[in-house]
Amino acid sequence: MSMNENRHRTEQQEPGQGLAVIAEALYLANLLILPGLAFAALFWLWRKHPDAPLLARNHLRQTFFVSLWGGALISVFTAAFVALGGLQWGWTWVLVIMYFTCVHSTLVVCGMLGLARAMAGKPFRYPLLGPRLDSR
Amino acid sequence: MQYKSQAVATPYFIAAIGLFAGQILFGIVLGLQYVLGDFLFPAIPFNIARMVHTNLLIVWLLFGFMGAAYYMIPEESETELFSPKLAIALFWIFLVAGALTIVGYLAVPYATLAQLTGNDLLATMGREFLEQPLPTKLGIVVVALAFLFNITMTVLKGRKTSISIVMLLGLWGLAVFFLFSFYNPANIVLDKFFWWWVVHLWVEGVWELILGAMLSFVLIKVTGVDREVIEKWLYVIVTMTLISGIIGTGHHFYWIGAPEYWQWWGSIFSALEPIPFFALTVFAFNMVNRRRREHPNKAAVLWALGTGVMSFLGAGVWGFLHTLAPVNYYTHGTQITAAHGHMAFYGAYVMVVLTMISYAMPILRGRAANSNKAQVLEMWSFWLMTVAMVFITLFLTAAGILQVWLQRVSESPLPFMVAQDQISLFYWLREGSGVVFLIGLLCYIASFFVRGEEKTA
Repeated sequence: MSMNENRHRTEQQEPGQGLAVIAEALYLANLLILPGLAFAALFWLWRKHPDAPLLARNHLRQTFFVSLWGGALISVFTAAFVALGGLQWGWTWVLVIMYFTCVHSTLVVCGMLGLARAMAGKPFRYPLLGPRLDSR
Repeated sequence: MQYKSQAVATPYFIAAIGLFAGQILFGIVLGLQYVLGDFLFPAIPFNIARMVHTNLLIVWLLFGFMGAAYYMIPEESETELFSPKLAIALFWIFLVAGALTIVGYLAVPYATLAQLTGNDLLATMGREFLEQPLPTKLGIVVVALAFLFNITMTVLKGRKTSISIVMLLGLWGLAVFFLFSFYNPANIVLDKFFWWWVVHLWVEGVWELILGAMLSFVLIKVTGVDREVIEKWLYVIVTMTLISGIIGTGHHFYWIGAPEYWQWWGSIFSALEPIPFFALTVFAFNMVNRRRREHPNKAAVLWALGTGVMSFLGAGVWGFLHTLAPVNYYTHGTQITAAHGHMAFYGAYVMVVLTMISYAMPILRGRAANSNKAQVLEMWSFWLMTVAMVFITLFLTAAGILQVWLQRVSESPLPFMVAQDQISLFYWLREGSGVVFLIGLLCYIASFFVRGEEKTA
């Protein structure tokens, strides 16, 4: 492929790229500024576009399931630590804040990588929590 | 390399790495002093080791920034450097002045050093990070002005690009804000207020412009993505940096005696400070995903991507963790601050300087990239240092949370030193991570001496 063709290809939008970027943006918004609301919007978007191009379906599916599992991972274990240790014990706070910060920021960094992939018109599978990629 | 005068960057990069090694050695000593209080006492007391550790950091980063500017600006401006001889002369002046200052810290008591260096004429010493004696401070100003003259004249006679303008803006800002280190009012509130105009407006202001310019330069080179695309990202990063960072200075004014409204202004604007780092990460990964060429220097690409992620985590996430006034009321000045400081400096500034060195040094040595063997070792050093820094940060964060609880929240608060004793486990773990970091740094240095099949320029 010549340099010009290559250039043309990278500057052209892939089918479904816009939707893929929105999905990743909603995933990040759910984690950072609008928890719950952004997730509801993501769910609505995922249900509304079952026949979207492959790239968009990939990002919608990944972000929806990782939001779901990520949310569960954060809330279930945080609640368990608090229930087991109690709020009047210093080590409970150490564990809860460390756990929340590490899991939450890992999910955010993965979302940023997902957003960068969507903006480049490429699919992305979230490590560990992301479902297998669709081939068609 | 495209321009002969770019070669002046080489001694700057070598000095930067040498001083970096010194900084880490003193860091290891300090880490031990946290748990073995009299380690190396009275030869190297804790306060002196700490001062050397932080001052070396600042000086080697400045060497790195200057080296980066001498390498980037001729290429960006498409012309030789205005005066390579001046650049070399300044290198030796800065190195000798820096070395004498460190020797001064180690050889004589700080109060004697203040007496010997004319602190009674204009009192500027004794403030954290700005401990340098008056002659050193004056030397920094002279070197900075001559360096800026050299760089600015080069830009003026050549092509003007967004990257070189942003770099210049950052470097001029660095010099201008340093002038506040000479203003040392007797009123302690004013003293602290303007001290932050140097410290905060450097690291959360103008240095971020330098970081953005350096990263953009390397990304253009290693990805082949259009300059226009990269420049648009750079505009966004610079704008968000200035919008959030300038008024974000207010997060240092919460408890120093400044008006109470700073608790609102500081909280709101510093909550926005992660945004430029967020953009920086997405920017770096987006450019690499859209790259039009496979650059043979894979180590440089790895450093560039690492800069994005680690600066977001260290400066963005760990900064946000304790920046809101109601949270900071409890966490102020604890190990949580130390955790943030370590990862933010490493992620944002250490890594971007190493990115530039990783990209430029092979070219300065006459090849596009180092041998595969050398790059593998360099990538090992990347992972060792980065993972070690993550653990240093996590252990310090855990220490900080427990410290806050024991000292400030529990029903029977403990005195400072008793609380320190209770969190010593985390200090030991941090020291272990520090040793791994040192091993990573040694691998990094060793990678310069590994031979093999080199990629031609």
